[in-house]
Amino acid sequence: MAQARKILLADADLGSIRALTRTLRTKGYQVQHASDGSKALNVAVLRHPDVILFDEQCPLIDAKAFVQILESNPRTDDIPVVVTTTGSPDAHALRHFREGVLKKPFHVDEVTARIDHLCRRIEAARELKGDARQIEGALTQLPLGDLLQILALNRRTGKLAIGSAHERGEIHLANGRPVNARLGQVEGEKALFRLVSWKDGTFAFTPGPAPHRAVIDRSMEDALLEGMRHTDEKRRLMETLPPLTHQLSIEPGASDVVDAHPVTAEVLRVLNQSRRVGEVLDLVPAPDLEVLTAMSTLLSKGVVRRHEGAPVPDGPVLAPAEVHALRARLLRGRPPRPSLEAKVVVCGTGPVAGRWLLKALPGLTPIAADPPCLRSSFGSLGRLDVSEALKLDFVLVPALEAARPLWRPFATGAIGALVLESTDAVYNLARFCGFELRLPLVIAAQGASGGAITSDALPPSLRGAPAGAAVVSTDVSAALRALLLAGFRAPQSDAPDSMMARRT
Amino acid sequence: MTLEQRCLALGAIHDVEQLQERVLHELTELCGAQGGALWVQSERTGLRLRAWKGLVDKKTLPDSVEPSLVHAAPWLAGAALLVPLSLPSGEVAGLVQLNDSISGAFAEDLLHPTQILGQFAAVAFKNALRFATLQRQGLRDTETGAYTISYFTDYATKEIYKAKRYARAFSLVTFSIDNLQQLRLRLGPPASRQAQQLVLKVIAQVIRDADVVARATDQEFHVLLPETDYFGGLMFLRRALASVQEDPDARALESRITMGLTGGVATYPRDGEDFDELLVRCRRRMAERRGSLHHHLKLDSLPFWDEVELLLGTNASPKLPETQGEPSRRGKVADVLFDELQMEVARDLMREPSTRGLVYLGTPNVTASLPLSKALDRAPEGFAPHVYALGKRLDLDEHAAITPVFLEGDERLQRHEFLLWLGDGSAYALVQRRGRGATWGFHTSDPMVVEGLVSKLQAEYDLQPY
Repeated sequence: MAQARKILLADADLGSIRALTRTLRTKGYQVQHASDGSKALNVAVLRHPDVILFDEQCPLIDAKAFVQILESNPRTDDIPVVVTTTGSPDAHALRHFREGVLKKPFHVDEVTARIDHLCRRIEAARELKGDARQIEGALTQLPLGDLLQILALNRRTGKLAIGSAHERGEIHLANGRPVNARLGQVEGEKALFRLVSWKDGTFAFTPGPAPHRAVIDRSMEDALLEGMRHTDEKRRLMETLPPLTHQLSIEPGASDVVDAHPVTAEVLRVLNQSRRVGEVLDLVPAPDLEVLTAMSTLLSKGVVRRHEGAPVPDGPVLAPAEVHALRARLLRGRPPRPSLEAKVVVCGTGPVAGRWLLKALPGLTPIAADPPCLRSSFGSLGRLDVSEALKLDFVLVPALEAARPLWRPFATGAIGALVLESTDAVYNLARFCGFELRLPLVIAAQGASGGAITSDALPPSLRGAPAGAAVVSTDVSAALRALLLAGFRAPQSDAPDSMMARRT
Repeated sequence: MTLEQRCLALGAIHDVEQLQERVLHELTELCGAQGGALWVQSERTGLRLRAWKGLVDKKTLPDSVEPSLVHAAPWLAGAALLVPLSLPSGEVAGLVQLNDSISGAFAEDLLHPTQILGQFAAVAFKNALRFATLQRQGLRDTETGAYTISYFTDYATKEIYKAKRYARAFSLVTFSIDNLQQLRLRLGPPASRQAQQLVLKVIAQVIRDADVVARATDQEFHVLLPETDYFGGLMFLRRALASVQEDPDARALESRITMGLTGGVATYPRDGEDFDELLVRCRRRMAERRGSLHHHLKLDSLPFWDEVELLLGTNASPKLPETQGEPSRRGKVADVLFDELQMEVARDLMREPSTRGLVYLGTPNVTASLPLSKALDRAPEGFAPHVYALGKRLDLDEHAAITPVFLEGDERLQRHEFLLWLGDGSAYALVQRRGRGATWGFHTSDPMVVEGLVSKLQAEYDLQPY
């Protein structure tokens, strides 16, 4: 140590700091003492101590004012002040005292260790001050929090690159304020809060121009405090959540969420397919703590479910999130219930379309060993379990003119109509479903209808159907999938202008 | 957004519905809540649940909250933050529950700003309610007392937004006095005004407090029925039309010239997603009713069995007239159709067990082996449709989902079978006569014919309307 470190102890109660004074002097520190705030201020300005321990009970000037006065003076703004108190320091007080608060009675060794640490940091800061060179080092020697505080105190502008064995990140500073951070694909506060928890690795600060766009709007002090809070809370929350490698998916039977919090909505959007917890954490731009909290709430409320190991297998025709979206649409205007049974109209005859569907659609279970509709062309053919929360009944409606009174009652409320034959009568029924009942139509052509429909072109009479009409010729599962997707992607009008105006 | 800006924004809103959502929005945003619910004080019912958003389980939210349980200032209760909307006088105007903070837990330092926001919200609610009262008083048609169409359109647009947000249904019912022009020409403008006032008076007698009636044109009136499904709308229409027919003043007027009162129902979201679509659907249903077989065959005055005989006709009967309404057909019927229909109607009811409907099955013998009875054996608790089986008692004394109506010695039921179904959005009737070698039947999806048959059957056997 080239020069003895100077410590100012501001405390009206000499007895309480006697042991500390003795220990500090034994370690080679110069110790000065002030019995009130005014004297402490004088000493601070005239002698410029390396560290000040200021007792909250000091008369004349209170601790908050003392710190503010020092911070407002360029000669003293770099002196770290640790406040000592006999009460319990609250979070509010900690925000004012950036070097923290020590509760009395304190252990002398702990206090001297804190003073040692502050002195090392202030010396490093002095070395940095005014230096335009690149600075490099290891985080084990100078923790990232301290390094950032030094850069903030010196109002440095440039880029701090941080590297570990597996990852590299960077924090951009402008006049000592963090303005952006990057870690892999993650940017902004999310990256900064991840980086401040790093304990190992190397750093290199390169002075340079500030980025044009500031993504983070916080002081360094605030960012560090918030970052540390996020790290602690995140650790606590991770203990209750599934491991990062576990899969999450939307529970198909969950109720639709009305006007969700932006972070919750983003988590749900990302979960439109089954994903690992870690993936969700990376894909949602909000800070990790908020994403984890949203995931935790969604899990606890049963909107999202977890799976170990492999991704959640999709259902026979729809993924869980698609089932959820379709259910939400079907349940509009109806009371919610866990298992929903819906129907699809089959436009075709029992002997042709019915038999083909039973043979070609995987998972379709006939309602009876020999469904009567295979002969009469009227009635339920079979049921397909799309998921636990959605079951589909396939209902044949006879296309004959004499049976026309059956069309509306037995096709109303269907998700859509699957056209499996190309006779005029069948197209008339399909046209009724498409234009009168406004159901989406899918014409299964070629292999999708077992060759019953040979043309890939949309019949002219079905063009312009309000809820859409499409031809699918790959296979009948693809045709059904197209029909169900059309069922929940039907356009919805927006909120009235008078109600949207308030969304500022 | 600063707290002051949030407070000022609330003060600028005069619409109660809009204010409800804005208050919830501001408080959830201010506190980073993932979910929230709002109860608002109403004149008669205390604090009622009015709005919710985000991750809330609607089933766990009480419909009403006892005002005496509400604290004077915001308070933390477990993981929730409760914010009273209190006026300076201490009167509670509402309560907001915020849950699941995105940052893990609600901080104590949110108590103060939420209290301020709550106070502003309370004042804003008070003002908005006063404004709504003024609006209701000022936007009425002077002649009839109904709301003006501009108020109604605005109200319907907001109702659509609410129904969409909370996944609810509502119904729009339109009434038209088709012969108003002739009535004016023959009896003069006072009689025309009297007809309008009569219809509105009767409608006003059958609506609920929450329903809104408006005069669209001289001859057309709209009624908005919040939280009402299609079947509810249809029942309302039947009740209103029946009430007009029974009203002594209306009868007196009708004895001089028929008013030609017609109605149509459309329900959000099944019939349309905006007001115009719903109105088009209503008018179309009115047109279908005007063109119904019921009018063409003048079925109004016929009792049930006479109408059945007329509709069934014989081989020698003339063809049914072509109508603009829903189709009707008669002729030879496959023997299996009656059984298949029962099965299919039952499956439809079981797919939507909480949706209301009305089914009458007429058969020679009420037996447990009826396809309808077997198919409804597993009807769940709270099965909403009303299903009746009429006929001679055989072996079905009671059923979880079917009400047996035993009609001993009614020869007509020994020769005929029928199935009448008023469902959610459609109607269907099959009447048939079994003969030697062939079954002769009539079936229709014409709602007016089906409703007529249902009403007459109810009158014939003293059955409840619904």
